[in-house]
Amino acid sequence: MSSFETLAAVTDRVGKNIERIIEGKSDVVRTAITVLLAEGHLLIEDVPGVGKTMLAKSLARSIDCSVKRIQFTPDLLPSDLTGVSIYNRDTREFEFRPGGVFANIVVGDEINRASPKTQSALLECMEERQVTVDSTTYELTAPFMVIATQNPIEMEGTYTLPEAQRDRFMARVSMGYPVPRSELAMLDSHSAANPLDDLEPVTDGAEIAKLVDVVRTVHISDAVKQYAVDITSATRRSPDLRLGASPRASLHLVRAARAHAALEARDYVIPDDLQTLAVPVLAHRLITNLEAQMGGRGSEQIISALLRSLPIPDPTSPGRRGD
Amino acid sequence: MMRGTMERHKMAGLGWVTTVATSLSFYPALADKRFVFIGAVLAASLVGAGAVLRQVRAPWHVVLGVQLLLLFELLAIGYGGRLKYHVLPTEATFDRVERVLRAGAETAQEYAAPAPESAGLTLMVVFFIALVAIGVDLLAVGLGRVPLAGLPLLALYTVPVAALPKGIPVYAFVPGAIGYIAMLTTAERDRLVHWGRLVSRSEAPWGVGDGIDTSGLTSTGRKVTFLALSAAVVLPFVIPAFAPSILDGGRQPGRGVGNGGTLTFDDPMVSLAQSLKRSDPVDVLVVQSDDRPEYLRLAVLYEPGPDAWRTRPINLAETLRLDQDLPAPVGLLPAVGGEDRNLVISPTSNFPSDSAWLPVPFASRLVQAGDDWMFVSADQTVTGASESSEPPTDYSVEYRTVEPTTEQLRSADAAPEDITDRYAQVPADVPSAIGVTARAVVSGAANDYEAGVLLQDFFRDSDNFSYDLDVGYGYGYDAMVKFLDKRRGFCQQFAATMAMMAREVGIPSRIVVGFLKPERLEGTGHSVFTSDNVHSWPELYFEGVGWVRFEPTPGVGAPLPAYAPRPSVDDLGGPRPSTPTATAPDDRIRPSLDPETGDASVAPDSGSSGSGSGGAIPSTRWLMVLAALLALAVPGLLRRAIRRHRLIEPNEGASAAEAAWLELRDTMLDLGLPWTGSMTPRARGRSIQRFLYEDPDGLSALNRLTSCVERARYASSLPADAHPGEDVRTVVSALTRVAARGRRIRAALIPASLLPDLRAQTEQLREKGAIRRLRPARDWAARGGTQ
Repeated sequence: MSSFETLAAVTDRVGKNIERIIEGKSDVVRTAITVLLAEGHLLIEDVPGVGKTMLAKSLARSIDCSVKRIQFTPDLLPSDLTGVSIYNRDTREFEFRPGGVFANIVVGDEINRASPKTQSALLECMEERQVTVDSTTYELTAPFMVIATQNPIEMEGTYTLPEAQRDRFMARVSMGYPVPRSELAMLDSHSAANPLDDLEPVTDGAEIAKLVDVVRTVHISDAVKQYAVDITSATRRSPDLRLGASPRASLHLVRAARAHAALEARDYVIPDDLQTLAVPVLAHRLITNLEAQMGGRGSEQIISALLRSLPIPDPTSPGRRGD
Repeated sequence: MMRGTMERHKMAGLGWVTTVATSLSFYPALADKRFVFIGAVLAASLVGAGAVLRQVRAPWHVVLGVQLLLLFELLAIGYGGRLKYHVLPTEATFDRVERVLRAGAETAQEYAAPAPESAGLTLMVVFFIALVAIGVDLLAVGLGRVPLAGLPLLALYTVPVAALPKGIPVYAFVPGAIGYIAMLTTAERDRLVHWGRLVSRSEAPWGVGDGIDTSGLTSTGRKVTFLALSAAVVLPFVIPAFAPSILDGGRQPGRGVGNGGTLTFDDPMVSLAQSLKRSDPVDVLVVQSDDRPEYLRLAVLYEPGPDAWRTRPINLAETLRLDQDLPAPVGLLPAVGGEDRNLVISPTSNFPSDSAWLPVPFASRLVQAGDDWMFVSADQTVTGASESSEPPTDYSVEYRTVEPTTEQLRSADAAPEDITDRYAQVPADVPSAIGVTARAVVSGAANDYEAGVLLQDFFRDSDNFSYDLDVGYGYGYDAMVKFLDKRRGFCQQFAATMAMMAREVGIPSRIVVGFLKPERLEGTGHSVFTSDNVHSWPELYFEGVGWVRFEPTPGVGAPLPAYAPRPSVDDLGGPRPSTPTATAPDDRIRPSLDPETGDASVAPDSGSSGSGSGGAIPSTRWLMVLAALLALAVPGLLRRAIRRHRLIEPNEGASAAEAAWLELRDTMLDLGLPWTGSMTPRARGRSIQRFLYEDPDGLSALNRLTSCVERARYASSLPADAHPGEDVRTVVSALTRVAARGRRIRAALIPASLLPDLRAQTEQLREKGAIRRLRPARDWAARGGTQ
C-alpha cells in the first residue's frame, strides 16, 4: 500500500468516525481533516447549538493523542493558556506548570468570549508551536492543532478576534444547520447518552505525524503556485475589500491544497484544490468595505466572484482560448 | 495609445514599410519605376525625422510641421535646381518645380497607363507617397490611431486603381494589405501588453504587471490575416458573378456606362465594351435622313499596344475648322463610286456631354456642329476643339458614301510610305502566333484585297468564331492570341485582331470605334442609335480607294460590305492551293505558342475538342463549379489537416496531451458545443461528460484524457500508459455521434475552430486587465497589521 493510499485509508477512518457524531456534514469534516494534515488550525464559527464543539471534540477523540479543552470565558487569563511558573517550596525553585495549550489537540471553546489579551496569548503557540513563559521557551509536541469554536461576532458577550489571530487559523468552517433527516437521526443518537463517550480513537498522533510528512511530498507545479498567488493578489485589489489576503494566506492555501490533494490520493495539486479551499482558507481573513456590506456581498461571494474571473493556469499555452 | 519608445519606433517602421508596400500599386501605372526607390527613401527620411522629434518629446503638430517642411525642402533639393545658400528655395525653385509638375500632369492626361517616363509624373507620385507616409506616421504613431492610418493608405491604393482601366494586379494589393494588418496586430498587441499580465506566466514575478503573453492574439491575428487575404485574393477568381459590372453597375472609376449611368467616351474601347454590356440599352443618337444611315464613326485607334490600341494625340495642325468644305479622305480617288447624302444627328441626353468626339459618317463633306468642334482629316473624325466642347443638340452632316468595286480594290497599288509608316507597323513584341496565323489564313490570296476578304471571312465563319460579350480578355497582344485560340469575343477582339493580322501581311490597318448601321424607324425618317449599336471594326487601306471598312464581327447582324462578300473560288483571281489549310483558311487554324521558345506554330484543329465556343463554355463553367466546390471544401480539409498534424505528429508526453486537449476543444467548437470560460481540465471534463453518458467508451476515454492533461499540466510526471491521441479520437467520434446532423455538417464544412474567437479573447484579456486596474485594497503594512 503506497503512502498515499495509507493516508486515504486513515483519513477515511477518521472521517467516518467523526460522522458517527456529526451527521450530514462530510464537507466540514473533510475540511477539518485537511487542516489537520496541513498542520493548520481550524476555526469553527457558527451560531450556538449546531455542533461546533461536537465536531472539535469528535475530531480530537478520533485520534489517540493528548487532547485539552479550554473553555474561553471573559475572565480567562493568558497564563491559563500558556502555563505559569510556580515556586516549589520543596525544591526551592520555580516550576513550570504547563497551561491548556500543551496538548496535541487543543479545543478552544467559544474563543471569542475571552478578552483579546487572552486570545492573543495563543498567537505564539499557534504560529511557532512553542510557548515562552518567563523567558523560557517550551516546544509543543507534534502534531499540534488548535480547534477553536466561536459564535458570530454579532452575538452578545463576544470580542472580535483580532486580525492577527484570525490570520493564524488556516481555515474557518461553518457548521450550518443540519438537514431535517440528519437532525432527526441526531435526536435518536444523542438523546440517550453522550455519543462521544462511545467514540473510540481510530488512529494515533504518531500516525498523523507520518501522514503530515506524506502531505509534504505532494508536488505543486509553478503554475498552480502562481494561481494561488493570483487568487490572494486579486483579493488585495478587489474594490469590495478593505483588507485582502496576507502572504501567510497564500502559504496556508498552498499547504491546505497539498493536504486536499493527498486526501484524494493524488500526489500533485490541481487548481481545483485551490478553488475548493479558497473560501474556507481565505474568507475569514478578509474585511469587506462598507459598499460591499451595503450591497450584501460577503467575503465568500467576493472570493467566488474572483475565482470565476481568474483564468485557470495552463502551463503550455497561456492566453489561448478557453483555458 | 502606445506608450513605449520601442513600440513607437516599431510602429513608425511598420508604417513606412506599409506605405512603401502600398505605393507598389503605382507600379503598373508608370513606365519609370524609379518612383518606388525615391518614394521609399523620401518616406524613410520623413518617418525618421518624426522618430527623432518624438524621441525629444516634440508634440505631434510640431512633428507634422517639421515633416512637411522637410518634404518641401527635399523636393526642392531634388527637383528645384539651385537653392539659395544651398538650403532656401527661391522663386526660380518654385517655377522649376511647377514646370516639372505641369509637364507631369500633361503626361498623365495625354497617355494611357503605363505613363511614359516623366520627371514630373514621378515627382507627383513621389510627393503623394511622401504625403501618405506623413499621414500614416501622424495617425499611427503621433496620434496612436492605427486603424485610421488605413485611410491615407487607401487613398494611395485608390489612385492607380482608378487610373488603370483594368485595375491593378493582385501582387500590388497584397503587400500593402499585409503591412496594414501587421500594423493593426502590432498596435493591438502593444495595447494589450499594457493592460495586464497573464496569470499563468510563472516566470513573471508576481505583482509586476509586465510581459503579458499575446501569442494567442498574434496567432489569431495571423489567422485573420490569412483568411482575409485569402478571401480577398481567391474569392474574385472563384465567384465568377463578382464582375465589376455587377458590383458597380458596369461603371469603372471615372468612365463607363452603367445601368442608369451615363455614357462616356474617354477611352472609346472601354466605353464600347461597357455600352454593349448594358442590361438596358439606351438611345444615344437620333438621326434624321432620307436613307438608312451608314455606320457613324467616333474615333480611330491605330497604335497597337501590349494592352490596348491607342488613339492619335490630337495635333491641332492636322485639324480643320468645321465652317468649310472638308477634304476627301486620304487615298480616295474620284473614280470610286458613291452618292451624296445628308444627315441630321441629334445626340440624346444619354450621349456623354464630355465626349471628345462627335459621331459622323465616313467621308463627311460638311459638318455643321459649331466652332467648338474640329475635323481630323486623317481620321475622318470630329473632335472637340477644347476640353469644354459640348455636343450640339443637333448637327447636320453632308457626306458621300464610298462604294468601291472589287476590281478597284483588287487593283490597288502599294500604299504610300507615309501610310505604311503610320498604319502598317507591327511592334516587335507582338506574339509571332498572330503573324503565323495571318499568313496561314491569307496564303491563297493574290493581292491585298483578297487577303482582306480572307481575313474577314476567317472571322465571319460562324463555325469558326462566335460572338461572346463575356470573354475575360481585352484586345492587347496576349488577348489576341487568346482570342485566336478560344475563338470567342466581341467586336473589340475581332476588329483589333483582324487589324493586327492585316498589318502582319503588310496591309495598313486601323480600328474605328463608332456605331453600327441602326434600325430605321420606317415612315418617320428617323433612325435611332442605341448603346447596343456601339461597335468597332477594322479599316484597311487600299491605294486609290483609301480606307475601307471590313466587318469581321459575326453575330451582330452586320452585313458584309458589298465590296467584300464571302470569297468564292471564282472571286479569287489567284491560284488556290489544294491543301485543306489553304483552301479553307477558316478551317480550325489555331495558333499555339511554345512556352519555351515563344515560337508559334499553326496546327489544324482535329475538331475533337469541341467546336469553337460551343465546347469551351460548359467546360469553363464546370471548372468554376469545381473551383467553388473546392473552395467550399477548403475549411473542412484544413481542419482535417490540423487534426492529423496534431495527433499523428510524434508528440511526447505533455505536448501530446495538450495537442489532444486542443483537438477536443476545437471539436467542441466545431460541433457548436459549449467551451467557454476558464475551466480546469477536471471541470471541463465534467462539463463534457453529460454529452457522453450513453457512451461508456467515450466517457472513460474522456476521463483518461482529462486525467492525462491534468497530470501533464500540474504533476511532476505523466503515467507511462497514457495515450491521449487515441483517447481524444474516441471522444471526438463519440461527440460527433451524439451531435445533431446539422451540427455535424456544419463542423465538416465550416469548422468554427478555424475562425478566431476574437470576442472571447478580448473579453478574456480585458478581464485580466480589469483585475489589474482595480483600486488596490489596503495591504497589511498600510493598516499597521502584523505578520
